[in-house]
Amino acid sequence: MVTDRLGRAIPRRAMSTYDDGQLVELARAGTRAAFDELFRRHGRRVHDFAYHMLSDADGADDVVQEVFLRVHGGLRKFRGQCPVGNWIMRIAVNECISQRRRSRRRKAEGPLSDAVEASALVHAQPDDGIDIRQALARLRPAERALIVMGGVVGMSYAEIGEITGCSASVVGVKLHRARMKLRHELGDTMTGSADHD
Amino acid sequence: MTDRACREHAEAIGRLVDGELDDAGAAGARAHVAACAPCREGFHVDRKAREALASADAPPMRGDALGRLHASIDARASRSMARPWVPVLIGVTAVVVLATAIVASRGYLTPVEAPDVSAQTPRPVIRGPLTVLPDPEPVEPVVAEPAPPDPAPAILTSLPEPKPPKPRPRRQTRRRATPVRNEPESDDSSIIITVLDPDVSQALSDAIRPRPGKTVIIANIPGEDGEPGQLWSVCRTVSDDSTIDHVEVFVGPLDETPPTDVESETVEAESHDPSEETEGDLPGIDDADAGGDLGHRADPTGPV
Repeated sequence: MVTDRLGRAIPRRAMSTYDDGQLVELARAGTRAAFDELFRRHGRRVHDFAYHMLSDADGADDVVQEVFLRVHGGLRKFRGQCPVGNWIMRIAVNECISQRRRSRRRKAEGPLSDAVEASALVHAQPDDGIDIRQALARLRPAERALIVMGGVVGMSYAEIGEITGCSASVVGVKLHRARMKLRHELGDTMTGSADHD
Repeated sequence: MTDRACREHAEAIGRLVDGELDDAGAAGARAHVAACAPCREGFHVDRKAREALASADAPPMRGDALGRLHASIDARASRSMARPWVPVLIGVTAVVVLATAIVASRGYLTPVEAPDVSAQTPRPVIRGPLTVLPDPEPVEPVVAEPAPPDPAPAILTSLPEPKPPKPRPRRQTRRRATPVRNEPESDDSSIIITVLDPDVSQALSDAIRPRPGKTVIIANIPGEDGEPGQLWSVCRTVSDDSTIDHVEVFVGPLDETPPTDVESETVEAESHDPSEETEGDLPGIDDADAGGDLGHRADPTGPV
């Protein structure tokens, strides 16, 4: 029988009916299906976030693998002080920033990843002509992470604050600054389209 | 619309785009956006960017992501199972490094050179009483007369190898001591001072207190250039509060007779009040004094 942190027995039923905390307890006890359920619930979000952070599908796949490897290794250390999803996203944010740093280092060593990034940007070109991904790529990783978390993953300011370690009001201020930069990077492209609204 | 109003609403516009405003806040922001063309433009840009981000779907994860993840987890587990000694090795290494750092930081690992015993020559040690004059009664400075050779009070523990006497210019070594306060002393009636440091005067000033009946035994008087020397005389000056103002030690070569005018000349030069000056005589310590091996002196003076 598997028990949660408070010693309560966790009944056997379909994994999709457990909440995240119970899944963590089950996965900690060695239930592989519980860990798979965690992956199914949060893997897609991590992948989308990583993809918009890195502008690279393969890099996003690698990030997902690395994030969930860390989640698996850190199950015993997880104390349940924040929602499981925010914990996983925090790992994802750190991993994406590290990955970006590594890819920049590789780029400095050789032109290998230039082609990769160029192809990713072409792939990311939206139909309406707004080159949002290219503008995002010019932001600092932390600013980019804020905008992606809010705009792509759809997280609230409170959730972003829990991940980044600041209050919701501070998140609002930082997001505002990041948006100002994004507006500047987007330039006239979107201004022209806005005039037609 | 003023700049101030725009600044106040700038952040609210972003919150409006993200749906983070309550009804009242949203109404105020919308009113400002409707009235201010630049803010309206910014609002539209933010909204378009958000819509573009939300609509830019990421490609699906390739292949069997979950299967690859389990393969990675299993591989990692098998690696750690195959090398169960790795954590132990890391721990032991950390402990060793930490202990080495602690020991090194405390200087235990500083190499210490062993003294070259073979290079040392036998050091003659002469012990003899040095009586300190009673303090309360100031005495006139007395010139130390070199006593005739009298081995009785001195204890010769070892002698240097006999060397042929070589002619050397007459010289005198003078050392000064810093003032030392009188402190309660033990009941020992004698103190043995082994002078191994050029700052011999400090050791002497600690020992030569104006106490009647105090005996000071001086050994290993260093001479000049490491040659054995002899203690010619000790001159001390006592102030009003029974404090030793300074002590002067005169050391000369073994093969020379101590000059008779050393003391008087020095006392005249250094004394503040002749009535308060006193001098330790050197009964039993005479030309049989031996020297140490320090090889330097504090204040060499010319031939007297």
